[in-house]
Amino acid sequence: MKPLAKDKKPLAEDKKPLAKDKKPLAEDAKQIVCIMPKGMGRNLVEALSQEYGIYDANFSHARGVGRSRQIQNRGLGEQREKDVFSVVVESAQADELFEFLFYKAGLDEPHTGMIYMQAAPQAAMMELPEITSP
Amino acid sequence: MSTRELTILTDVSMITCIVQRGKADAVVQAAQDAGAQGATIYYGYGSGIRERLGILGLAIEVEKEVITILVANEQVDRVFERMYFAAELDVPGAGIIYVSKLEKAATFIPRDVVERLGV
Repeated sequence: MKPLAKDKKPLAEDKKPLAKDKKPLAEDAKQIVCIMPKGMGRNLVEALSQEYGIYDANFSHARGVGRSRQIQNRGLGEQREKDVFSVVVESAQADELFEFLFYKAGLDEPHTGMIYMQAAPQAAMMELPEITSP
Repeated sequence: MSTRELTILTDVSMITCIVQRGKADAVVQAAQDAGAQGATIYYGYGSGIRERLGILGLAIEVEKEVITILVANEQVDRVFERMYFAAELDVPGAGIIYVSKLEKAATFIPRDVVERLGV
């Protein structure tokens, strides 16, 4: 039988978990966001995990509106499906990862997308737990 | 054509605008008229004034469109103002718009443009 919530005894003050004990906090992190053609997001997530051991990257879908030289005279924008990739990294690694992601996403090709970086003054960096065999 | 060159852009800001679904195209068009090059639009679910209006809240679209646009710092005020009025954000509960300073950005820049600007 599950105890009711009111039966729970409060933890002693010295046993309460602190937020910073649960996850390592970074006070000078950077968020890198990459907007690129649909289908590239999964590649970047896998590349980061394999080459840098970073597992907390995410991507979502969006539509991009640009200016197509062929049709801009008709007042039409160019629309394409995009993946929006996002990852928060420590500042010491940020510049290296920025360049890595730029080339990995193929952003040195025309009409692909762009990448940017902004400060994340406080961030909880995710670390996977050690898995011990039974 | 691959250049294998990475040109870092600084003095770039990101404008984020959250509007009711269906309004994004007009806002993007206004931004482009003011000099913005492109935009990224995705969908979200928002709450706010709709919950306070009771039955009248049904008139407010619960699905939102989130528009992000990267512009040069020197253009940001002009583009921001055009987007603000195109999204009708002077109406209460219509949405929100804000600017974030970016540390750096990069994209494909044609070689002739790089040489002309001398960067």
